[in-house]
Amino acid sequence: MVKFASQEWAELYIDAVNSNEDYAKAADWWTGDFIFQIDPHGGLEKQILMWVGLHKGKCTGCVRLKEGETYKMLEKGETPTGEPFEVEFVYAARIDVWQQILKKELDPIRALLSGQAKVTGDMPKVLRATEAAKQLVVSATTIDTEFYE
Amino acid sequence: MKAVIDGIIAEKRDNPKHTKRIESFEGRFNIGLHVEEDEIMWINLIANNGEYTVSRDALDEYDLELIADPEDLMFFCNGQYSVTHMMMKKNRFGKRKLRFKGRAYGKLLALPKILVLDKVEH
Repeated sequence: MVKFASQEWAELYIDAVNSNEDYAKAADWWTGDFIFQIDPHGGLEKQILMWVGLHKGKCTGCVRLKEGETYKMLEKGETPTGEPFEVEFVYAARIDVWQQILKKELDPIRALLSGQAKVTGDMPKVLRATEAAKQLVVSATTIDTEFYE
Repeated sequence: MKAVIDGIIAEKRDNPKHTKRIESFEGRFNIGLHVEEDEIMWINLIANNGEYTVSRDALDEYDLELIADPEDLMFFCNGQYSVTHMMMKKNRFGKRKLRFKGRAYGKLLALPKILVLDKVEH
């Protein structure tokens, strides 16, 4: 078992996404990196930020940000400069919500609509990629994950 | 849902094809988000003078009242579900995916043009 959102988990996640053919198909048009923001609750004491690079149906990288590292939120239409962790979207939720999503007890879109999770970024673009979002979760569920109980 | 509606209207506003409609469309809508079998959360959308505001709770005076599961509403907004689908198919609670009250049929028919994202060729 690998601890959720550890660097080891992040590396497994790259492989999981890249071997998900349904994701590749659903996101073949997608460009735009994400920050997954995992907010503390229960057994998790500090916020975790994870950068996920996503480009045309592939995961180009996944890195857990170190303490003190920050990301840059790109404006709509802004071109990345090549600096690390420039993202178009942030998907934020408390660890217990992430846990429910990754255990398939809660749909990531339903979490969003119920206010348990929040997306920052170009909402219409996210709305057009609901199947891709679901497949990102499906990819994560293939990893034998340990949570912060 | 506020972020969803605000995002769609902002995108429509940026598209010259929709500017006139967005500027001229007016109405007061209660939107019931059917979240649990016996629980509906109310928000409202007011379109007035080209301004759109989404707030909590239902309005006492409204043109149309819509009720839908938020997820179905989202699939309607992203174009995955058509109006016909929403009117004819049942939701996870066994009710029609889109129920409405009120006689402002013109506004009902115009609503998809305001709230449904344009198809984009990828």
